[in-house]
Amino acid sequence: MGTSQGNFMIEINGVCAKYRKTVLTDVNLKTSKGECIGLLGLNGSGKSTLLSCIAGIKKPQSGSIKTEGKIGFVTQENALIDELNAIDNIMMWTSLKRSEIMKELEGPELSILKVKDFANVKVKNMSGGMKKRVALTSILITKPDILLLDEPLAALDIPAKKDILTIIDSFISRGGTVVVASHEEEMFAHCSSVYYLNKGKATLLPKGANISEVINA
Amino acid sequence: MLKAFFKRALNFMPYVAVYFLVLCLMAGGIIAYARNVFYKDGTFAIVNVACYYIENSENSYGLQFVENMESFEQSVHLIDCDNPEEVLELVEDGEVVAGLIFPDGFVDSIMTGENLSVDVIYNESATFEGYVVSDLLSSLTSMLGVGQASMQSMYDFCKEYDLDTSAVDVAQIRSLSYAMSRFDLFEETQADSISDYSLVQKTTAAYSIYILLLSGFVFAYFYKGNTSAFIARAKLAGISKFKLFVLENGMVTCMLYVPTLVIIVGLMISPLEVSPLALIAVLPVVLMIATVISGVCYVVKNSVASGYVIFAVGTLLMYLAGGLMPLEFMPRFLQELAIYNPCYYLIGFMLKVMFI
Repeated sequence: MGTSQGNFMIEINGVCAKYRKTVLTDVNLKTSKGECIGLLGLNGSGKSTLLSCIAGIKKPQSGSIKTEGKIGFVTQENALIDELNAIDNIMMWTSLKRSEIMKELEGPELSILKVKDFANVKVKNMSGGMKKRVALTSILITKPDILLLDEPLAALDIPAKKDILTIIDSFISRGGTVVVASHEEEMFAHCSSVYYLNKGKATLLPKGANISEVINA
Repeated sequence: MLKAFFKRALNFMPYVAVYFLVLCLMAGGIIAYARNVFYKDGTFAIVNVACYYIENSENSYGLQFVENMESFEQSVHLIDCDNPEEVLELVEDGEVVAGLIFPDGFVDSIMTGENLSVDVIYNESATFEGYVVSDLLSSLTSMLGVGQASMQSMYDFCKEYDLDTSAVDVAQIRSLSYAMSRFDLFEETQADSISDYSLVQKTTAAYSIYILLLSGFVFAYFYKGNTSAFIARAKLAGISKFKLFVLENGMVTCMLYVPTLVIIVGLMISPLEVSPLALIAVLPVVLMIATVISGVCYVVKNSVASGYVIFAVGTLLMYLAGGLMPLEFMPRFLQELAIYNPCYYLIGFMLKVMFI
């Protein structure tokens, strides 16, 4: 793990990673500011592992990963605490005060996720969509430069998907870099490039490739 | 983050309180049931000891004195025998766990400083000799010490009124000799410190630990430091796994401490008269148990599984340590195994803490 030289926000060279079985083999990937990279692949193809490696949570067996700026990682399973409400969960990971957080939630960016509407609801009483909104808010409020998203649209209803896609677009338009692992076709429409992970290898799909064909292949 | 964790702990406390209430009621029920099942005649006496002594006023008075001692009464039931052979027979038949044969003139020997030894006979198949002998003999020794002090006072009185100076001098020398040697009278005493406590005290301490251990069931749902998502989030926020463990362990300790205080305050106003110092002294026990619970949660990485592991391992260890059932009811090899059990020492520590 190091700092990327040049214009790249993320620079991955020859990364291999394994748990008991090898999951990633010689993965190479580069992305610049304002780009959104999609990771496509079957279950167990190594998408989440690659995101963990980028986040620095998992150490790759070999190869190098260089990143520039602060990383925010929204994992597939949320890191929220059931006994606390949305605000307390957000406060837990920032030094911001309650009033400052409320102000941020009302701001032009985070207001898209509508967390203010259920700010005092305990997580255990929230739906899956609400939890996803809180998890994403708790990351975005820390102002990351790189956003890593693992299945951000999984099990969400249409309005929730729309709001999350909107905020991702907003983040990219502000110069943020996004790497997203997903199975959802509509997610890849927002990506500047899509990598297909299969048998540990990451292959860059050509522009305009039919995602559903790749998924079904 | 600490503030959020405290808030989280406060929100979690009602679950802990309900869980502890249920456990305390269950433990109370078990203790009440055990009193009727394990201990005959509604007393706490748990072992029989055969005893032979020459009937005379000094000996009878001394034995009666010992039998009325609280710690003795709760652990030993003395069976008077008519002769030393009967003592041997009872010991050999396994009717008693030990036999005591007081030599003729035992009490007199103490008065004169001759200090005759008591024969202590063990039953090979019995399992609790150390406990019985230690309790009995320490009580006897105390009694003899009291007797010795009385004698000293009597001779002081004689001296003051010039009744018999030569007798006073001899008595003083003998008293001193006895006082110096009375703890060596019974050399075979090898019982550990736990046997200094009454059975009720031991049961109370053991069940208090068991209740605290079983709280792992509820704390397993509190613990988040074993989920990959939470660890990942913490790491990105600059909090290492170790820091997270320490933080969560601290919270578990705090939450565990509150019901522990309630238990101790309850015991303080009960006839057991637990020492108020226990409110502070119990902290290391709480910390140890909280660390065990957090450790299991950290390793097992699943709330439900962690709860079951804590329950299963905790129950087994407490059982083998004699915490759930007196050790003397168990096979000999299990009793010997107890000294390798950490819970055995934890119970000993808790006893010291509660009954300082």
